[in-house]
Amino acid sequence: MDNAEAAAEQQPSRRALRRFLRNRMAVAALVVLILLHAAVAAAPLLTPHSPEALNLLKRLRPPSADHLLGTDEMGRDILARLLYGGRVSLGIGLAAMGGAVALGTLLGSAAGFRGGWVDAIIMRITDAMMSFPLFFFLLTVLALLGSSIANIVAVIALTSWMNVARIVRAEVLRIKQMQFVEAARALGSSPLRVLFRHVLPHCLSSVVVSATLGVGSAILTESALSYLGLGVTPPAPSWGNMLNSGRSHIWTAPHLVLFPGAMIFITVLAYNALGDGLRDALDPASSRDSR
Amino acid sequence: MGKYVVGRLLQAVVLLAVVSVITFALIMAAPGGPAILYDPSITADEAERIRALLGLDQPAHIQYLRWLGNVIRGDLGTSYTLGLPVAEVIAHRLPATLLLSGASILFAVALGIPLGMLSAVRRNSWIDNAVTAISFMGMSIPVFWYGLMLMILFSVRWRLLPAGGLETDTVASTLKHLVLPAVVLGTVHMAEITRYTRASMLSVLHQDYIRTARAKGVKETWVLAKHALKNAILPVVTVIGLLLPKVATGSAITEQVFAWPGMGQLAVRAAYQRDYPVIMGVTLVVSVVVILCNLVVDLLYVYLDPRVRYE
Repeated sequence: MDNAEAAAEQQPSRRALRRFLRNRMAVAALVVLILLHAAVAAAPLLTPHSPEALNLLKRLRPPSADHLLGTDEMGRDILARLLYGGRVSLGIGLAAMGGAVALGTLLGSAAGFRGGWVDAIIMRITDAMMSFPLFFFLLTVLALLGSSIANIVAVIALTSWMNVARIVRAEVLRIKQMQFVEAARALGSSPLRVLFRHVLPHCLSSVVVSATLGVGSAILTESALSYLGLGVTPPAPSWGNMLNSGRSHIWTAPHLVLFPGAMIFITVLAYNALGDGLRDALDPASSRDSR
Repeated sequence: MGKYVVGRLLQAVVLLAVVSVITFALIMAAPGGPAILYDPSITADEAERIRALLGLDQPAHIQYLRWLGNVIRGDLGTSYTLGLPVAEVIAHRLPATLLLSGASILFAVALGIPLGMLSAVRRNSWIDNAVTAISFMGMSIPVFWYGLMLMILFSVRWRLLPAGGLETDTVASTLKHLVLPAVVLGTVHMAEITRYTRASMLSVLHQDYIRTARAKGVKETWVLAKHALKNAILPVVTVIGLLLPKVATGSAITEQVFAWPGMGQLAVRAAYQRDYPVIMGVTLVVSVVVILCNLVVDLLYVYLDPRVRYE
């Protein structure tokens, strides 16, 4: 009994879970995110209103029993728009992050695993892109090629993979020196098999951390683009374009911009707190106090 | 050292060339054309003549080489919509952006470094927790929403500050217009600077020379002010360099919120109107400024830390 418990203690995943559960902020963030995603998924159950139903007789109403968060400049229910808009904003955030992680992992592991000129070229591109004000580029691309959701996801992914690539490269460089990798090579595994079966799985925890932090920044980028009118195209709601259409009413109806912005803020804050908690739990050596 | 600077500048030129080719290729690949060709008051025949006049009927590589040749001679072309030389338009707008970015960095450094230090020195106290919470929020808040919220409070409710724009007749009026956008943009950078300062200070406080200073009886305030501060602040300088692209991005969004007459506003409008020469010019100038500032920050680092040498 004692022995079994001691063995369980030593399992790294158990230890990580325990460390994570002790971090109140991270656990709170996880709960918030679960609720948020559930609410957005269950949008039709939570509000009887449609996000695009106009009612010009009930414009710019403050919160009331019928419209819990009030109505916007076209008399549409703000709660409904927040919930359905959340599907768009969270969806774009997750999809863009997925693309960025895939690209970053691919390039980072190629650079770290192959080394030599492959490494030099990939890292030169990574550094160049990191030192560059890419947002102007995003504006141009979306204005020229049109801001469909696929385009938004693609441009955000293409301009935010650099952090993941650097982290994966550093991990691959570290892990490929280890004895079990050498053993796998000695046993005759092909380089690709060594990479995918033995090296990359050990990068998982750092990739998970940077992916979590990446969702937050992808949501921020999407909302900024939508705020500028170059993101999600109305009348489909997204948190960013709700702010865009609400900003001309801040003198008379500030609730139009208050709620969508608060949703973005809470979501990004929760993803950042979760990412930070995951880093502390999965990789105590790089936690914020010993960095 | 000189060799290093030349190398960096060469790299920058290559980078700029690549970026301009990509931007140009995108413009060529985009469906449609500049908005002025779709003005309903002109005939198809006139549109065709405008196209020829602007050189848009030439093959892509000829158009690019012509643009590049002009740029090397200092001519960024003429804006389609404003009818003015792009260089003139940018020269008119760049100072406002530099003012906003500079003020926001100043705000971020002036607040971020002391907060980070305090947080590290009082590690795990309520101050540390509060500072960590603030920097977390600063990194997560959408700039434009934060701007709108401050505008609602300070301009709409309390009528203390102007809701946007820039009037530079007097210093006082400039500052009044500058406060809100600079604080909004500065908060985001402050959050990052605070985090880095805290981490850097914590690692310095573990060093042997700090223990030595304490052991020989140096007063704690003196240990922190002299021995720790000087060494902890160095890495923060590089963070400011890394922040520059974010400053450019953030200022583009902040300018839009506060109707600040800078490059960001110009870029957004040019993107909407497909004003190609302005798009190319703004991308080029913003990139040059960011790259040069980055180089200056790196050189400053060598000056501040004699241990660092660039070969």
